Amino acid sequence: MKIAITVWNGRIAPLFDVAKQLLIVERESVRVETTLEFSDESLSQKVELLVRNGVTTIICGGISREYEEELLNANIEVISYVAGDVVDILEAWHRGVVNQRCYSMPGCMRPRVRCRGRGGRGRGLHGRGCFDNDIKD
Amino acid sequence: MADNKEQITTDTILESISDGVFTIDTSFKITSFNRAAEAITGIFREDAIGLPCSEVFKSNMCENNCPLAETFKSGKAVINRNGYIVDLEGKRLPVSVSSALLRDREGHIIGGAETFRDLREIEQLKQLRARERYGEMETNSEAMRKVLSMVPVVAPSSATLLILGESGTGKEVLARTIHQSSNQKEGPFIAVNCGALPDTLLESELFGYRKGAFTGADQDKPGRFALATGGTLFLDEIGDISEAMQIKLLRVLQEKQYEPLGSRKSEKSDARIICATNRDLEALVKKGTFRQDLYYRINIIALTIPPLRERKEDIPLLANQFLGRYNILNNKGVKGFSPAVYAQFYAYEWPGNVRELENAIERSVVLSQSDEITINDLPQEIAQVAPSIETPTQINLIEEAKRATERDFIVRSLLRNNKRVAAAANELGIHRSSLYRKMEQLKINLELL
Repeated sequence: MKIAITVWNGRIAPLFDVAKQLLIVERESVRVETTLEFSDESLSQKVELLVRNGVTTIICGGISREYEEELLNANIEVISYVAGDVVDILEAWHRGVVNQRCYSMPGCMRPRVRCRGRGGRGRGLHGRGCFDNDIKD
Repeated sequence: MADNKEQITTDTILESISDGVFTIDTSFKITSFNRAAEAITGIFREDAIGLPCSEVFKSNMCENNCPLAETFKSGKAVINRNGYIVDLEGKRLPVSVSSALLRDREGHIIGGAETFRDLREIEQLKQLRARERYGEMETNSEAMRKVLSMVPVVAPSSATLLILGESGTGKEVLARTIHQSSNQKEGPFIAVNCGALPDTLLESELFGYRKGAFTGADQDKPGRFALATGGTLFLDEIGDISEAMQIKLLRVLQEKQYEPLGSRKSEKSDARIICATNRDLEALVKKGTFRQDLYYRINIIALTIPPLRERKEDIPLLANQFLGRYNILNNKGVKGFSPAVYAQFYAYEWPGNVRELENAIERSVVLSQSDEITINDLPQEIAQVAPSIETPTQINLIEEAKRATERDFIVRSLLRNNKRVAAAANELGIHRSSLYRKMEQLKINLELL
């Protein structure tokens, strides 16, 4: 199981919809395994690529609803509205604190964490997000 | 001192304009963020200042097509580049962006300025125009649902269609909807009101004429049949044409050929014909004023649109569609209708059908002085009709009235909470997902509120 992080200039890319580069990271060891490049793929092709690469969690900046829904439908957990240096975010992920306000984009109370199903699979990050209400599906 | 004054003037101007403006330093960190930028992005300036502009703006242009980066590189301003930003709820907002360099008094580049315009209203207007043009029919009524369920069945066929219905029921809208779902949708949709033209004019309008066909015909003019080639020809008020025209029309329908006025050569027509009338064609045939052979020729498939009085379930749906449309077109912010207005709408018989409802709402929106349409804003004939004692039709409408009230309640809550669904759900005491479901059921479109 892997996580994917959108990257641009060493920071989390501002918008998942048009992000070109992702780091594929092993979930437990938090070791960067490879990078994934997006070019002109459609939304469903992007999701298929992520699934094929064993990605079960995405960490990204802004994301539009349709993209988020498509990822959730593919059972990919989405941690969005995250901002910061990729290294810092990976470290925060490792410590299980990536959902804290200091890692969020401006205007958000904290990064948004969404996944389908009740169990969740992250590091105790579920249920709180950009807004101060329950956003778990 | 003079510099200070200049700065105050600039700040005042920036705060008063409706376009979002932010400035950045040479490392793309935000140095100022005006009031409109706060309103469009939903981010306070104190949260934005000092951060990379891409993380505040979250646009599809930031990573690959940044106007400011381009301006820094070329030294030239970028004007009106269209794209979108994604807000904090994941909604895409269309924007038009321009960028320019900022220099100090010595001419050194100290940063850049980006202005962005919220294009939502313009996009909505485009959609509304498109809707008017192409027709987008929605319904809550069983009778109307039956008619609409026929659209995908009849659209792909090239058979002549007949649409029946009282004046103002939306026959042309239905014809456009059929055209848009048909195989010839890429072709033109040409509408002709046959009842509005005298015979000679109608003939030249439909079939066209050749140069010299009559005095004043100084050049060839194609008729509507020719213009509709590869598309659909909609002949409205077909019941009103003369017997001579009926014969000519029958020939085109039978042989798919016609002769323009003054021409000896037949022209072929492949346009799909949709006829419509508000008259009882069968009765006209019995009376002898409408040819039986033409009647059979056009009555291959007939769709009858029920009058509005027989589908009052659609009144809240249509009323809110029209309210949204005329709010935008008249730059008004009317949020809904008072319950008494709905009572009048249900009691009124709507002889002019949907068109009359649309006109009544347009008038009410224009006249309304408050955020709600009241009985005083309605046309006299609708305002004065006495809501009668419950009739069987009205009993059936109780559910609809309940829906309308519920809708109104939710819309008000959403507007009170600045269209934030989570906050409205909290106020209404329901879960956000339940509110989304309700909004979908009640056809509440946040964009149009």
